[in-house]
Amino acid sequence: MANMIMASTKPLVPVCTSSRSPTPKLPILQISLPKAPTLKLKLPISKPQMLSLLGGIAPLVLARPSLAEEFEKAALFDFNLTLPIIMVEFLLLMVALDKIWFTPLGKFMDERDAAIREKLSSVKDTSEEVKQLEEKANAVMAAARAEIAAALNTMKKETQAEVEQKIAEGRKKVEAELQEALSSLENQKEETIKSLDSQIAALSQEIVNKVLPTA
Amino acid sequence: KILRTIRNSEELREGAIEQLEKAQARLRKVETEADRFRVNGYSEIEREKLNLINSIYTTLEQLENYKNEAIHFEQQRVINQVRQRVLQQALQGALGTLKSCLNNELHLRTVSANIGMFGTMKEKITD
Repeated sequence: MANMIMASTKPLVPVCTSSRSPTPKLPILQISLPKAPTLKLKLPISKPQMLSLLGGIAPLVLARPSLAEEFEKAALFDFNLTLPIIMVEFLLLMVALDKIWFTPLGKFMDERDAAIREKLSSVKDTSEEVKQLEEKANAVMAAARAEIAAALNTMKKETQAEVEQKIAEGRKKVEAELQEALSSLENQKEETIKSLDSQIAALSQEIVNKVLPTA
Repeated sequence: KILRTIRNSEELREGAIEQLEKAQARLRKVETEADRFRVNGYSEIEREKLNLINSIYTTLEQLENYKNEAIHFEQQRVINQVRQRVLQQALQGALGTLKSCLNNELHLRTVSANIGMFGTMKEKITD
């Protein structure tokens, strides 16, 4: 991070490491004036032009200290007592950013990653749960069918046994009643035959009379 | 990449939740059907039980009818036996009497009676 900050920092003006003073060198126009008493040199310019040229140089000479001051102020740091201050400031900035921004961001990203992983794992668990629910549904239906089948079989066995018992009892009773009725009928037959003896004699006589008419 | 992963996970989650809800709904439906099947099954069982019990009464009724028919048949048989016996005894008695009474006098008297009867018939025919 420090390297990034250092790389991102661009000096406003080029710095010469060999020079102690960051003051830039300004070009100075040197004009040599001819000596009036000894030589007479013809210049290509006239006096008014010379005066105007001198008037243009004067502001530059006068403005030199202010420009230097501005350049001095614009410098970010220098290899002097300001360097340790800048280093301390950088360390403070690094600590502050770490505590205020990077650590919370890291925590947030970790939490998000954990949440994503949890969701993915929950998706996997849900498919298993779906399968379990389907198996449970099938088991419920199978259990119901088995229960009904077992109850039906049990009922059939019990009821069939009861039915057979009652039918046997009924048959036995009916047979007993039938035997009793037949015995009673036989007795009645014998009694009837005995009671009909006189009638048999009368009938016999009547037959004889029919066959043998009286004179 | 993170955004795509999140989006994919959200889609998977929604799909999984949907499947889970469908499975739960199906489970509830199956449970309802199982209960209904159970109720219907028990109703069927009771109905079949009643049918079996009714078959008892049907069988007993058939046995009663069989008994009545048997008794009636025996009664008819006994009546016929009594009639035959009475007639047989009467005939035997009559035959015995006839055997003991048949002689010449009886023969002449019988012939005379027949002649008279035939004569009466002749007169009626002639008139």
